[in-house]
Amino acid sequence: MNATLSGALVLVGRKLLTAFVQLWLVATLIFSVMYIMPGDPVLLLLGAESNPSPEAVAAMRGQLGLDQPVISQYFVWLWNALHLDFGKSLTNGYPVAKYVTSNLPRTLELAFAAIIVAALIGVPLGIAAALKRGSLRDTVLTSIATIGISVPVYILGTLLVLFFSIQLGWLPASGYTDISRNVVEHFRKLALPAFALGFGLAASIARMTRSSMLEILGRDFVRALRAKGMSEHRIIWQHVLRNAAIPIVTIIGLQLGNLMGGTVLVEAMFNWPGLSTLLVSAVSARNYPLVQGSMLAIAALFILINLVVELFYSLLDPRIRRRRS
Amino acid sequence: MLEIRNLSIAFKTAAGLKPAVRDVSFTIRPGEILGLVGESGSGKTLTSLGVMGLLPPNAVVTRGEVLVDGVDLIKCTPAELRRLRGGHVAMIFQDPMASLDPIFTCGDQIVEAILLHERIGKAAARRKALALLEKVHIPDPARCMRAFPHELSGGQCQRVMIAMAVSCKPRIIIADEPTTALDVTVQKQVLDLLRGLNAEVGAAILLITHDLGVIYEVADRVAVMYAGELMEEAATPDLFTNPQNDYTKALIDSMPSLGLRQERLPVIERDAAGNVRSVRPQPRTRPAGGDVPVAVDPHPLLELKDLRKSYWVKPTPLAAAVAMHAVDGVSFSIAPRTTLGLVGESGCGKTTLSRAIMRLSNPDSGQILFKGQDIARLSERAMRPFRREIAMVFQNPYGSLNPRQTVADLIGAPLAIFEEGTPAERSKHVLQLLDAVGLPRAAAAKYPHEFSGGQRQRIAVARALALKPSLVICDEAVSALDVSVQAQVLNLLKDLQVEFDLTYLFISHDLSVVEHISDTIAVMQKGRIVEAGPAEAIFAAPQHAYTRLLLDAVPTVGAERARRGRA
Repeated sequence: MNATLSGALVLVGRKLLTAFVQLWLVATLIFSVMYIMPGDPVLLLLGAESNPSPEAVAAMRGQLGLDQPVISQYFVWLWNALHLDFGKSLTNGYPVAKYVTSNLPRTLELAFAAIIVAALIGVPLGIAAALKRGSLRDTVLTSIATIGISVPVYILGTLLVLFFSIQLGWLPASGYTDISRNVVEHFRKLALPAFALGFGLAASIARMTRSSMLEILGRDFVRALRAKGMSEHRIIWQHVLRNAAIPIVTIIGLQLGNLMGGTVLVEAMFNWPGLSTLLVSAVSARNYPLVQGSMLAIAALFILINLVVELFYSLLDPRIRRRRS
Repeated sequence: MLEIRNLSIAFKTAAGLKPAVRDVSFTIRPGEILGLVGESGSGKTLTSLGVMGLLPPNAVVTRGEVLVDGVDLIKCTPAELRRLRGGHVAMIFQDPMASLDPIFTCGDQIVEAILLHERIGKAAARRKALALLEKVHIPDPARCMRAFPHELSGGQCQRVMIAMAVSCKPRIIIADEPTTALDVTVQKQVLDLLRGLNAEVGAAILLITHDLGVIYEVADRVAVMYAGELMEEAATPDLFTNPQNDYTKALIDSMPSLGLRQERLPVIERDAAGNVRSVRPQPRTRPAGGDVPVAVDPHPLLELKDLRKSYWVKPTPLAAAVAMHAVDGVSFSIAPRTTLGLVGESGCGKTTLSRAIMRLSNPDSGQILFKGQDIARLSERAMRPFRREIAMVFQNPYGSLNPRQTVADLIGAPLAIFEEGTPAERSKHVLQLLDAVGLPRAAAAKYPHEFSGGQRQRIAVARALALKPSLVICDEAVSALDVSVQAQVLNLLKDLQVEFDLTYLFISHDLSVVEHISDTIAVMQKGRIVEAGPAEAIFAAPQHAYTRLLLDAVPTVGAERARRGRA
């Protein structure tokens, strides 16, 4: 027992170390992007059209620390980032960390809501299709799933708004209300963007669930369970689904990770003030510290979610627990 | 107890019902073991699944009754059937590892089986499971309760399956090829266990197998199936001494048997009228002009000197890696135009050794002398000319042929790789190779899935011969084949040896096959050669304890047959 526990700790430690190295590589990439991208932030800040004097430019450079050698800029930036200090917004001098911490939970909330919608729709549909393989039900469900994957989120979002807000008037079309101000209104405004994101994801989860279930249903041990006299219902829920869960959890985890930066369209469409909205406005304003800060936050979340998913595998599959050694 | 009357099973196809089992009838009495024997495709597994009501969705029972204590299972509702399954009729499957759910512990799975049919508490069920594991002689039953299937060996998994099968004292146990995936010594233990439990529990056992030796060892009576029909049913001694049916005779003849070496094995042939008979083919002679006396070459073709190959494995995540000596100081030599049979159980290092000789992996130390030159440390480039000289035939003819290539492409691939001749010359050579392995020339344009297992292995042999190698390594090359098909491929290998001056390294776990084909034998255990020498000497008087253990474990079809064979 003790050996298993220490083995698990070693595993977690190794994964954390890997995640940390990944994060550092991403941070380095994000930092260098600033020098690769065209345009000088100082000129942009002072307004290139107003033809700023060289003195003003130099003063601004000194103020922002841009007159230092690149390598020392890099280490200062990295050191500050390590302390969650991403600098100040170029436009208003407000700390980037404040922006990120206020927008990040909103994106996280939207992503989790979408993934829950997707799993609640996708997994049962996939199971239903797998159990009646080749039947009309399977064909219909599989076709719906294919359509779900191919409809772009902005079209689905528009349709949802047309139907639920304009036609029926049940839900607000867009906006955001903080949960501390009005709980009901908060979730009413969350519903449409979450569904718009979730439907497309549900389709791929359903397909993965279906094929994974079919693969497990064909295994020898399922036949052995039937020969034991176990009911079909118990075989499916207790044995097949648990065995089929690993690829399903994988795809859910990957999608959740992708959502960290993939909510752009939906956030824009529904006026949801999340990280993606922040990133898009920062990019168009060449607000470099804000770009770097929000990109790093998105990357960190992505890596973190993947880490959690991988650790979750070993709970599901005893073979992975040992094989990783 | 179990009575099957006129059972017919058919597959549903687009063209209507295609019969697969026709009018099969037999009975098993309490405490009896009935062996059901036949080749793959003979309908024996389908019959057993029909009895359990577990037929695949595309198969249906078209006629007949399956009576268990007077109750017809065919007429039962699914719920009634479920109560009978596991409780009344239990089943043991071929691949024990795959037949256990990988994500539950073995203990949980036995407990689950007990609770399905008995109204007892969970703690009581656990105690019972532990007692069952003791009964099937698993070492350390408490650990086995906690272990996941992948942490146990194949033999141990099969014991868990057996424990589960007998947990509810079933009246009938159906064992479908229960030992086919296991080593001989383990097979013997499992068969002994089954026989012992049978005597104790008093259950009737239907033992399905393709292995006549297994039947001979354990079954009280035998039923022989061929092409969906029951050929013959008789008491075991009668069947082997005095088979009535032509197919049964032919099947018994085609089996290589310990202590009975034959130049060529008889094969089963079917004439136009559908009658089956046993034919002993004449050894092929060398083509005209080829009968130059073959000089006896004193130098071995292949010689291994103290070859070693280790892998580093970690027993637990935190422990330091330890060396696993897969090949531990192996030395032997093979004379040209002879066959060395390499015998050993799974995990003994046979395959690692063959991969090292092929230089698919690099040995740690030692020499591999091929025609006197050490190839153990040659670079990939310097190794290239030797690659033509050494060819390999793998175990699984389904996995070793690319399904998207035609037979002509497959056989011609080595020629194309070595840029041998023009495309026209190559295709002519491919046709000659097809002739040599006894396949029709029309086969060239076909794909592997259009052939049976035995035919595919012929294709694999033709591919191995394409570059006229001098050494052919056969790694369990006939293990996946039926007895009668195995006899054909073994005869072919012997014919080709004479025709193409081949030297074989024949790796197998099957001692009777090895005895049949080998001139010299090396017995491998835990990475070492424990005994080596001329085949006849080793089989007549094995020196090492492990060799004797292996030989004792082989189910033999009695001395009567040996006498009959020699007569």
